[in-house]
Amino acid sequence: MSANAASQGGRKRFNVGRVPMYAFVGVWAVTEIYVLLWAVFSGFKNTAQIDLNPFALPTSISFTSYYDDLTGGGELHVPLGSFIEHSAIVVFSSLIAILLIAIPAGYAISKKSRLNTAVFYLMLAMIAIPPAAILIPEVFLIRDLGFLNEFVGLILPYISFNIPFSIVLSRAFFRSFPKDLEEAGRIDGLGELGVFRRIVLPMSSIVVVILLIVNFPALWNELLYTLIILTSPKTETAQPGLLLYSGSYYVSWSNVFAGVVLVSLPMLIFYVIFQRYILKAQFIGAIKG
Amino acid sequence: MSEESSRVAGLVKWFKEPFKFKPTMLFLIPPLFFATVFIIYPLTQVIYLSFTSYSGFITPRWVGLSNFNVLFNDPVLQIALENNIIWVVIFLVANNFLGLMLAGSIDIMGRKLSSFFRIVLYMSVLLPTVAVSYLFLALYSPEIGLIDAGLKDIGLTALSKTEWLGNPSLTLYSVLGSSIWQYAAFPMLIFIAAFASINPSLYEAAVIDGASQWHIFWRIKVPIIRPVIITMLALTYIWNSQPFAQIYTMTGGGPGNASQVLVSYMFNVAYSELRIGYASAIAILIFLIIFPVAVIFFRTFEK
Repeated sequence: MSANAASQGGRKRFNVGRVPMYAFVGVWAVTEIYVLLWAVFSGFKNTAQIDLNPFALPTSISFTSYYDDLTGGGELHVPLGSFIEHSAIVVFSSLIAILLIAIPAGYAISKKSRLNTAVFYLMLAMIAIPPAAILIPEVFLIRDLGFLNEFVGLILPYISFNIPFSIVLSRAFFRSFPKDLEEAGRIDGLGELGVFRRIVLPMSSIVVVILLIVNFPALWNELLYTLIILTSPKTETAQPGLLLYSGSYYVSWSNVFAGVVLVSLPMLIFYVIFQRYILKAQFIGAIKG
Repeated sequence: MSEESSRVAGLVKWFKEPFKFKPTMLFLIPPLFFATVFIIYPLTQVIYLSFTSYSGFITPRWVGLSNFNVLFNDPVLQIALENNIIWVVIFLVANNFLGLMLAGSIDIMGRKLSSFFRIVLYMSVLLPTVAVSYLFLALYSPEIGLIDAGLKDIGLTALSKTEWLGNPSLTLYSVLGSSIWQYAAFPMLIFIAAFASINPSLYEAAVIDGASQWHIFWRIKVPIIRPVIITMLALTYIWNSQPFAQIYTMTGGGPGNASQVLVSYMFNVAYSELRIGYASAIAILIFLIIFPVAVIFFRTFEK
């Protein structure tokens, strides 16, 4: 938009003043691409080749490191494949629960009433409490419930910490929902729940997308709680699993690089699918709306 | 004065409003349940534990304020707190400043270039923190690292054996650098959206007068999106002022305790030293650093 405005201002020729700007953004972009490709290619090498020349392109493409990481072979026997599976179970279950709880609740408190205002402020207060500050008693609670090393033991805190912000986001969306449509439903004889189910929900797919793009990266990325709650190889998740490739004296670099790529892959796929929504920064509009 | 009385009147009205049951109120039961059981109850417990001595196994023993006494005299905690403050200040300023510069540059590029750069730059934001930390562990490493090799290539051999993570006075900044690189595109994206919503008529006159883009950026566009920048600063504070995964992956708080921050230190105290009571006192400190700022922010935000 503004680029056009500038050229209308009579400056069609190449603008020297903009060179630093392109250099700044361009160099930054190169580092992003370079780091990612470096990880992918290094995963195709073995550790000896990496030590010899870490920056050379792989002379032959070997899937050994990727394969070893997925199956738990290699020197360190870290079954990253099953850790990724555990992460997927935890994150997927948490997401479903968050959507099922936060969307109806966000709708409920989007209406004006003293109860709803109180609940809204309570949710804001919950957002203001850093999860790290309640880690210790939370772990005792999960232990007392008998859920240590059970997926549900991590899912419960994940749901609890992410519901408040999700409610605030969906409340903002439902506040801008056209009241006439709800009114029309009531005239047709639908009750409160009927209006929500038949009229509001079918038009709310964007809320689902917003909650997904806010919650999925946060959940997939979480380290602190999963590090303490899921420690057995039967339940351990991908982030702490990745840490197992570096012992105190030895780092198995080829496995690290392959592992980094494998653990990042779900996020990158997610990025490709939701890129359009993510790059619009839509959820910020939802906060203000 | 009048604001105060209207607030009182509002409060009176709030209590007088008759309670009427609506079926959608049932939707509030699950979030209230989860908030009470998994956030509020643990919060009361961490307050209680901070007044006790507890190893995690036998029952906690009440010790009054002695954990907080230790807190004020613990040299490691002092390092962790200082590091944490350095982290917050540098991260807050650098991340948002770089995000702003990137956004300002991308904003005046053509459509295709702009969407290309947005896609590429946002990549690292979505990579797991542990993954990016590992990549920087490799980049900083003296054996296989790109950074030392690069310095050697451009002739700065004296710098090329720098121990980015092994040198106690550098280590925190090296970790900070990786985190700033990873997350600068987040504020960038928000600022791009904000710039795009500015009505072009607000700066077209300046363009016709021959003002430089630099001038338009600082004098017109940035002042207009000031509320968004302030919001971003507050959100960065709430979300990013307690680093853990980066420190845990790259340095483990070391060498010695040189890169210890509050959460990593609390983690060590709780799960390596099993001093649950003292760790809870550190947790209270973490809570007090974030909660009041968040509340003040939300209050101004609601108006």
